[in-house]
Amino acid sequence: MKNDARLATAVYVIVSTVMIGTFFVSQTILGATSTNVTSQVIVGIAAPAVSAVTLNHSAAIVLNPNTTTNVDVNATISDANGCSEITTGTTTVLLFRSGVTSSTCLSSPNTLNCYVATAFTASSSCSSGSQNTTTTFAVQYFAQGTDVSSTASSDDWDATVIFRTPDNTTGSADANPHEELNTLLALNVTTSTINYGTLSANSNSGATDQVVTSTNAGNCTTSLQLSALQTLTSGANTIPTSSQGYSTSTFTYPGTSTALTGSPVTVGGFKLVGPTSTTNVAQATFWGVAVPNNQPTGTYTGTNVFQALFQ
Amino acid sequence: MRPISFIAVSIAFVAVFFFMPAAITHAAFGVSPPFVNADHLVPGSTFTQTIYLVRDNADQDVKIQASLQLADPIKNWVSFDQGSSFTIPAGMHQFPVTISVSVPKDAGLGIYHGSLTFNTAPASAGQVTIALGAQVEINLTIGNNVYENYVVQRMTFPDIYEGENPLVDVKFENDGNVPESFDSAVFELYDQYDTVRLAYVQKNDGFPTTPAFSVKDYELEFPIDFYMGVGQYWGFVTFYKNHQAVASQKTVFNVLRSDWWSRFIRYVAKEWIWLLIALVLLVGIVIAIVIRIRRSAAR
Repeated sequence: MKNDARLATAVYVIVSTVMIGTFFVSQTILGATSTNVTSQVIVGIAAPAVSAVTLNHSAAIVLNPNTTTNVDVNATISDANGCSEITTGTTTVLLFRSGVTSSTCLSSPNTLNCYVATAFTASSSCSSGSQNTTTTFAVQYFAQGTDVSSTASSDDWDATVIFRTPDNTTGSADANPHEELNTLLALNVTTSTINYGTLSANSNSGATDQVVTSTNAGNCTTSLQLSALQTLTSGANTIPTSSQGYSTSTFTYPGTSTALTGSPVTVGGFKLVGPTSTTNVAQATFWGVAVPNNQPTGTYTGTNVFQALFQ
Repeated sequence: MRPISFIAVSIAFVAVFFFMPAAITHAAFGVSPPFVNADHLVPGSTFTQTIYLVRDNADQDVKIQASLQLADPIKNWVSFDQGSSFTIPAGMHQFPVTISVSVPKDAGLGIYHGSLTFNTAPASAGQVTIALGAQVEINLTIGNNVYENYVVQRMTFPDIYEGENPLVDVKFENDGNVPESFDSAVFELYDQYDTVRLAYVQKNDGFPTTPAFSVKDYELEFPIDFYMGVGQYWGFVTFYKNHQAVASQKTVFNVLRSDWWSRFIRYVAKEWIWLLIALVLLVGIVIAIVIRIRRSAAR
């Protein structure tokens, strides 16, 4: 029995050695012609996904007057095929008033209600096929308002982010939520002072009007209110506020002018409609003054207020 | 006689001089929005709205004078946070002013109007300077009807640490005149490719209430029976009110590696923050007492 066990062990070792040896010999000698069983996985093209699109950091858009205001659109772009798809892809980002629709905006951008960008700034490093992005738009001061008292109050502003990979697959998403663009009431007066020059007592400016031009620096129709913040004063002496007169057309003092008051008064015939481009919407007011009799000499200074009134 | 005649001559040929130099810096000025429309107030309501004083040129400080024009009975209902005189600092294009309306409980129903005006101070003197101003219309309607109007301004999924539950940050804006909250929410967790759903959880309570006419930020936790290891996941949350989906968001978020120190810091920040502050104050007081005793002893 003992010899049988030894024999079995010897046979086992010999057979095993032969088999292993055969395997290595076959791999070495016949390897070039042998057939390997291989496995493969075809990684398909995955469409990118756009998510978490937010507009202006989820706050209503407030514009600066007479200039542009930066408005951010943030989004996350993901692609299961990896970051290379994102870094080599192309993007289109739309910022538009919802009444315009994204398709119209894409074909006819304008600064009134539709802005288009074709690039984003990475706001994070791409990781696991996901990239946070920011696109900043310089929105003009006359962009259309959508809040409750605006002419487009049934609309709001939306953003759409469209991403296309080099494989020509696309993903897109809209901002959630949309945001209002606030009405902007603003005025710019391009004249720094009203300079009546030198006048004698008991005289007036006659037909020599001083011109003050006001421009609409906002996105709504604006009327104008005028008043004196500080009447004309020189030391202890004053010239009555009502001595200054204004009109929307030229006049010979007092003519058609309206006497200035200490409280704001809406100027008749003055209306600045909302601009639709960077071309100024402007209107002039004409100013004159009378110096009462017996008015002491001096340098008289004062301040007039040009106040915008929403219409 | 001479002085008298000099005065007479002076009076006869009085001249008014206005100097030409214009040191003023031109800047457009305005307000956005130029109205406060509180249409759904009820007696006892409080309402706040932020408007912005805006300018294009922010190179210098600008002084502002503000005044309310309100008649009875709303004269004492309306206030604003900046006072009648304040300064917009240089560099600031948009300056917030918060207007508050507090309607007394015995207020009569009706429609009320007023205004709030802001005037800039001219930047120079010596001439008839021009100051710019803008008017904010205030329109209040006091009624007795229930008005529901809200919007979820933000839903984001902050990054979390491994082993934690998903979180959703919510900004809830309630423009109605009754308190609002969600009834329920569903959170679905997907793998990084948004193909395999890993977890599903429904939440039926624990939603903060947002008072009328206010905005509330809060964070909601969705406990799930799934251990989220380090990596990227897709989250999909839907909020319901009266069995209707009212807001949803789907996006990716990260699960970060967590070490004991960061876990400890977060735990302290979340659970022990007041205890920690009290401890710091206590230590400060003890140190002050010890120093005082030592100084007394030294004398």
